[in-house]
Amino acid sequence: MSAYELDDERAIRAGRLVDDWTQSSLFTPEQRAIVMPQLAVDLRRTSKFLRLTLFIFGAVILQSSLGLLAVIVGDITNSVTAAVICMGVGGACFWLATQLVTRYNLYRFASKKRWPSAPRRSSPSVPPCSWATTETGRS
Amino acid sequence: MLYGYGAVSFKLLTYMDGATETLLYGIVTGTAVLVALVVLARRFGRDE
Repeated sequence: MSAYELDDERAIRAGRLVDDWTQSSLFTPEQRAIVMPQLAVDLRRTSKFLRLTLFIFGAVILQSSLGLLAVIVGDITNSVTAAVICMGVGGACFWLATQLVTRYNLYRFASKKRWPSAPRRSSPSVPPCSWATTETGRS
Repeated sequence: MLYGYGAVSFKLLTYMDGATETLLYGIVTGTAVLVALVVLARRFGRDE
C-alpha cells in the first residue's frame, strides 16, 4: 500500500543512484545531465534537514492540539474518552496527509517509513530480513 | 532555528502557568514556524 506510483518511486531511487554514481565518478556530469531529465517526477521533495524541522514542528502542533482537545473535553483520565480523541485525531492526520500528497504532490515530507508490503524492486535478490541474520552472525 | 525556538519558548513558558495557554502557545507558534518555513522554502528553494 503506497500513495505513490511505483514508477515514480523507481525513478526517484534511480535518480539517487545516478547522483551517487556521479559523486563516485562512475558517471560524468554530462552523462548525468542526459539521464536525469528522463527520471524527472511530478513530486515535491525537500532536503532531510528541512524535512526533520517540519516533522518536529508538526509534532509540536499535533501534541499541543491533542492536549488542548483533552483539556477542553475535560475527562482525560477516562480511557474510552482518550481512545476516541486519539482515533479522531489519527483519522484527521490521515486525511490531511492524503490531501497533502494528492493535492500538493508532497513526497514523504517528515517521514521516510516504507510500508511493510511495499515491493523491494531495487534489490530483488536480497530477502527483506537478510540484514537481521547477517548482523547476528547467522548468515 | 530549533535552538532559538527552544530557548525563546523556555523563557516565555516560565511566565505561563496554565495548561491551556501553554498548549495554545505550542499551536500558534508551531503553525507560525511551519508557515514561515514553507514561505522561505518556496521563495529561496532551488531545484537540484
